Amino acid sequence: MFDSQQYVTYEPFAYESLRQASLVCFGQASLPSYAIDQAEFVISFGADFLETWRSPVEYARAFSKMRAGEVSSTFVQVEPRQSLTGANADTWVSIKPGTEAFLALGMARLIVTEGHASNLSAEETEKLSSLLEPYSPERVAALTDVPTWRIQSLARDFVRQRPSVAIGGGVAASSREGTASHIAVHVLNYVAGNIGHTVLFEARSDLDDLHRAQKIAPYSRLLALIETMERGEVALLLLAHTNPVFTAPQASRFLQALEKVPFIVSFSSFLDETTERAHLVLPDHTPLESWGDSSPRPGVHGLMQPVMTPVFDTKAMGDVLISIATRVYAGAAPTGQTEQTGQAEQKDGQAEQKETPLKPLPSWDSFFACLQDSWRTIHKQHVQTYGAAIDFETFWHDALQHGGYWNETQPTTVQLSPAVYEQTFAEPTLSGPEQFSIPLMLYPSSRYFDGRGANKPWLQELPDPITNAVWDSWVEIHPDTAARLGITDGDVLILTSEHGMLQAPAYLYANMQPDMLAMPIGQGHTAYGQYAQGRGANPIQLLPAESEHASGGLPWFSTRVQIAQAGRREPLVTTAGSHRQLGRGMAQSVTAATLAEQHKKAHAETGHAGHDMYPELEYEQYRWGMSIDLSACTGCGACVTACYAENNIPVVGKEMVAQGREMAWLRIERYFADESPQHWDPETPAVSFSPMLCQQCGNAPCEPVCPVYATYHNPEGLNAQVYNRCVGTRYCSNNCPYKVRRFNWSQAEWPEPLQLQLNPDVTVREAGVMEKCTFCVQRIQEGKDRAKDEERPVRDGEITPACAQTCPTQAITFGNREDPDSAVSQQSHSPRAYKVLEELNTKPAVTYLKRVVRREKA
Amino acid sequence: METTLSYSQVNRDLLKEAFTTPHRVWYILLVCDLVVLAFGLYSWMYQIEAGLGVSGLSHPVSWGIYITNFVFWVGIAHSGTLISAVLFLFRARWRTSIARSAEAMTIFAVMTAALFPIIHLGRAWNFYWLLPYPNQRQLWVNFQSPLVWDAFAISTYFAVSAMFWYIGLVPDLAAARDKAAGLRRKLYGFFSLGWQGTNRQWLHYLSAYGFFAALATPLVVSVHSVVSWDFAMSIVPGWHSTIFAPYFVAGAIFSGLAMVLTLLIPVRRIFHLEAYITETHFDNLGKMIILTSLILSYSYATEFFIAWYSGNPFEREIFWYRAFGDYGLLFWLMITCNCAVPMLLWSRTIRTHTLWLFGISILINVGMWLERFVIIVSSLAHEFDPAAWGLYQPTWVEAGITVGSFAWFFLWFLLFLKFLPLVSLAEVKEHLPHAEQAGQSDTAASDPPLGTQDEAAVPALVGQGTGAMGVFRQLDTLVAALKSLRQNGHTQLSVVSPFPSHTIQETLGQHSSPIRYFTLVGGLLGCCIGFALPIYTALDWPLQTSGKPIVGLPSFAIIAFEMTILFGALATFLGLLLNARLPARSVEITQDPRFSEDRFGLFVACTGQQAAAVQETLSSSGAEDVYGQGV
Repeated sequence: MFDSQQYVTYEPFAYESLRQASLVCFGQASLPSYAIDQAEFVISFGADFLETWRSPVEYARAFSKMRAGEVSSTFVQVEPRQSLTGANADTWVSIKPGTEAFLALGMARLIVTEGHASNLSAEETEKLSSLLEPYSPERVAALTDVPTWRIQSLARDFVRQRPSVAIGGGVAASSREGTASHIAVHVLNYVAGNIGHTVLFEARSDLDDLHRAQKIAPYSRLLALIETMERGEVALLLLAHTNPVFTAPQASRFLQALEKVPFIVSFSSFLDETTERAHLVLPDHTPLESWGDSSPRPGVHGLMQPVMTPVFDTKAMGDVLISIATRVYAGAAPTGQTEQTGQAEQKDGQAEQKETPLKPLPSWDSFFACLQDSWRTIHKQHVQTYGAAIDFETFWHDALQHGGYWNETQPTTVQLSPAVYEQTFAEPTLSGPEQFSIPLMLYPSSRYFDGRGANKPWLQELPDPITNAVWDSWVEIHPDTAARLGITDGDVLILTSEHGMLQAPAYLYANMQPDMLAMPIGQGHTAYGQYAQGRGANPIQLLPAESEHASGGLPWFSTRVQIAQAGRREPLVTTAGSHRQLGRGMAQSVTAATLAEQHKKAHAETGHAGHDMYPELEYEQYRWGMSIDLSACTGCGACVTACYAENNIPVVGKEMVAQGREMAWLRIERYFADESPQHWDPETPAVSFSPMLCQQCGNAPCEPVCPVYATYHNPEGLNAQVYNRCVGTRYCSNNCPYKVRRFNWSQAEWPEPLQLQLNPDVTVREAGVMEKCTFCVQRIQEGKDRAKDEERPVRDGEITPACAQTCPTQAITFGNREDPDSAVSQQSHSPRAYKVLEELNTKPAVTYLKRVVRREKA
Repeated sequence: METTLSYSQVNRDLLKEAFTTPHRVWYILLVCDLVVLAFGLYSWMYQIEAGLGVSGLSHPVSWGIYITNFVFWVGIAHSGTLISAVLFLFRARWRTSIARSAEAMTIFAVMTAALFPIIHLGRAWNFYWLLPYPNQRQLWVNFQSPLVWDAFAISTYFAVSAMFWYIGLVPDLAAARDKAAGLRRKLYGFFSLGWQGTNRQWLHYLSAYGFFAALATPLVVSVHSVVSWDFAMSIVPGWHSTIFAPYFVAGAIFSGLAMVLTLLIPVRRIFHLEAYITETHFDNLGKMIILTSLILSYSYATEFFIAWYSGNPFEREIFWYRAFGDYGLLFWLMITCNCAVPMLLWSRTIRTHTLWLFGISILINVGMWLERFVIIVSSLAHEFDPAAWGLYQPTWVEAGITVGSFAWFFLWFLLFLKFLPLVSLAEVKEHLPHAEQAGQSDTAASDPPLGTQDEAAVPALVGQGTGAMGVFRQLDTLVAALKSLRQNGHTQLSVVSPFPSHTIQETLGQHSSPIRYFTLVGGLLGCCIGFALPIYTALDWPLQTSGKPIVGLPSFAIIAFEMTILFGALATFLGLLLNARLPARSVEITQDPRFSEDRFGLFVACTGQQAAAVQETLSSSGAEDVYGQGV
């Protein structure tokens, strides 16, 4: 109505460079999809697609599909610092930060020169050859620190193991040469013939416009807005669920620009750093209380409905905007007075009414009406496309039930644009004078992402997959570099860049390049509630303001820093005991070759049958069991938090975790390879993960030692725990070799309104009582009740514990071991099957499937 | 023991504390003790209020100082029983001077130890759930749990030790009663059950005492074995070991002997008991410490050897960690205190030098406390799952409760020093050379009074029988009188004496006491109940634990054993009361305070007509005083 052009949808991680690279290469400024699940060979140049990159759950699911079966395809991760994604790679290639493009180009050159690029036209071959000419293996090796033989073998495998796919991205690739990196990866995919097969560009759809408000603007648009604000040209700033004070570099002067705005309104559910500076806060519903929709990519329309009545006196932002617009429209005299309304918006903002000057307003009385209106368009399209006679009401309810509407869109065929041939490639420049000697790489935390997760106690208490640290942030430094500088684990470091300074403890991490530092983003809040505030440091403030030239994105790898020691130690609080397995076979692996050998022999569950003093226990109908596929498990920890949510597990805070009092019933054990870092074979996993939960042992050592029968073996094979009978001797915990029992050292608290988290099907345990996993016995009971009502036995797969339900890679299978046809029984006979600490003869009901690796440890 | 002691000197020396205003040092110690105890209580209350989180206990080390203290105090208890029961059975007479206080130490140590499982519990207010009774849903305890064995063993141990100690005290309490007046007289009178020291009472007393010693000896071995099984029955590397029972029993005796020295050396000095506790005692205790220290050193070596020899990676890791890991310093301190320092006792000079001994005994106490700490904590810190390794650091709350427990123990010991004779009067007198008593100049009459003696003249109990009483100063004269009376056809003879004498019993031709049947029946009954109760409760509500059978006879045998001892002891105690007619309401012979001190009474039951003649005979037989009763 007021025709504001200052509408910015700002996302800190907006993948501007990938969009721009796609525009340069294929004339389409969009994000391609990568068909990882169909690929035999995946090489990722830094994209942490199992953690935060684009749609991690979707990609993790695809990854596990790729891994399914016992002869595994190959996944190579190329990055300067081993991420969780890198830890899951068959081969992890360490590379000098910012030089990923050269490796991709070097591989492309080999593919072209060795004549594997059969899909190229003669002209393309010629032009690409000259583009790739400078990137001989030797030169690439010198540029990237990746050995020549490795470049050659990667290039050969890339074309031999088809379909293959190369994925560019990650934070290291979002440098000042980020777009060039992506172009290099696109070229690699192009010469290998992957475009259109494993790299897909979706066709644009008419419905795309529906979600135009969600189209993320590049970071440079925010910079432009800041400039406008600083000039004092913005009279009113509406902020919706956005926190640039935290997520934009301090050097961007957003904070100073805010001071020039006379009236700032923030729609937010939490008092974050930006909202704190608003003149008026209009609390919005939280996502659980809101209507909304979202379209992450063409063909997918997610629909979101409230799952609870609003807890506080809040009002949906859409409702507020509509009612304001209606009133303003009613009383508006077209005096020509135009306000510059800058609005920094995130997703979920429906603001069509803002953009049509003095056109009659739609007759929406609420945001819900507005939402339905846009879905009428989708409905119309659906009816047109499929000729289906379905009325809107049915369509709408169907979409609500399924959580959205999706129609498969056909990928478009794209051609390599000649603009590529003009592309130049260079090492990215870094800010900071020479004395700021060490490049700093920032990466989004898998728990807090850009910082928005930091106010959730569940996420704060979830151990970081690699460091196992909780409630904190840290600076990762290579042990050699640390030794050179006299830094030990836990020393507080002062990092100074041209733009800022911060303090954080050092974490010595061997799986990274020696000449750099790395730091997770997400902590260091100065506001945003009691759980986020005052924890760790926010490294974004070290970054320079300017955007990447080519794409307008925020370059996360763009500064050098100076290291000083603060002279004190604050060791990270971690949940890890030993970092190594010491040959105890907690998380086991096996090579594909060994597996093939084993297939020839009949496999039986090993054990100590015949050595038992007492007869084997017998079960009537069910013995509940689980199998965990370590090839699929990525170690992300989603199951851990799911368990917290399902079982009312209290969050205890950093100090208590430091004393070993975290309450997690399920934990991810993270083990580094037993060999010292210098002797790692990159083909064997440097990090192994293993979810550890109650094994529901047949011979449970915890049971006979309890004086009051608070724990016993129930007739369905569960190691039951009777909370109100427990007197708290803790003998059971001593005697549990898996250490999965948790004692309530103090009274758990769920301060208002967190009591609403509590699952009514599960008791809350009082202080002094031992608690543990029972395979979500409340869900088992529910499943059995249902089966009983329908007078049938429980069907396989009918009952799913919370951990299995949440696992993005479906690594966890639950079922009845007494049923020989159940998935869990089948898996227990796999040649990969093993039991943890089997030699203790505890007869666990949990079977682990060994991770398939390329090579056994030497 | 110096031969110059007279019977009444023994009474004077050993009952002195009970009747005099205590030493200033005693009061200072008592006040200090109460202050520390109050702090300990405060710490415990705070822990109950705030939860166990205020301790340093955590995951995976969820047993720490409390269990360390428990095992430590149970261990301390052991040497008391060793000295009072085992040495009694071996007829080691030197035990007499230290047995009473060693046994008192046992009881107080068990009382202290028993607090710790309760303090340790997550829900301490529900501690009674560990006792064998059916809860509101008719579920009993799990008799297969070592903690239930513990509850049985410790409560049996406490009950048996307390009864054993009390039986030994009864004659001494009677002696105190006879010396006391007012409230003291009433209290000592109440607890001495009307004991007179008649030959019948002494007969049953000796029998019961012997059976108690016989029951306490296997019990003491079982108790620390059961305590060791709290660890050995688990699968924790560093705990799961077959040598734990003998290893713990030896360690317990070792620490208990050291604690005896720690207590007695200052007591001997302060209360001037050099005449009773002599170099011989220190010499003997020192030798026993050397022996137990060597057993312990051998056990340590065995643990390490087996860990290496077995090739079990978990065992190897844990023992390497124990010596060189986070708690390595404590380990080496323990080795120094328990293996190296006691070797100084090979020197007789050091063995009999109280200051040296005192220092060594303190170090042994420290060493043995550390032993338990090291075993418990270092094993739990490095178990099977490497990702779950962790550390333990005690907090001030645990330290407060620990020092409070020492205050609790010393409080009882201080009260014991004040109110009860430190050494058994009767036993000391029994072992004094009787012939030399004649040469002693002092008599009861010339003794300075211990308490107010006004009331002492009035007999507490007046005998119902009729007859004549002769008071003898010497045992030999009495025996001679007895013989002549028996020859004259008197059969209704009773002797009242300050200590038991086999000569008197032989002369009277007394048969053995029927108490042995009580012990046998009680023991058998206990054994049956000990098997029947667990079997019944297990079958009544069968709950599967681990892969074990519902009726786990190996486990139940432990319950049956403890119940055998407990019921045997209870029946013996009952047998003593019934046979010795205790507590006495009406007695045959009028009480005479002289008989609990240094005189012997010979009572001849006869009719009024005969009394005069009998009195005449008694006088002529050498009685220094003769009087009639009920005539």
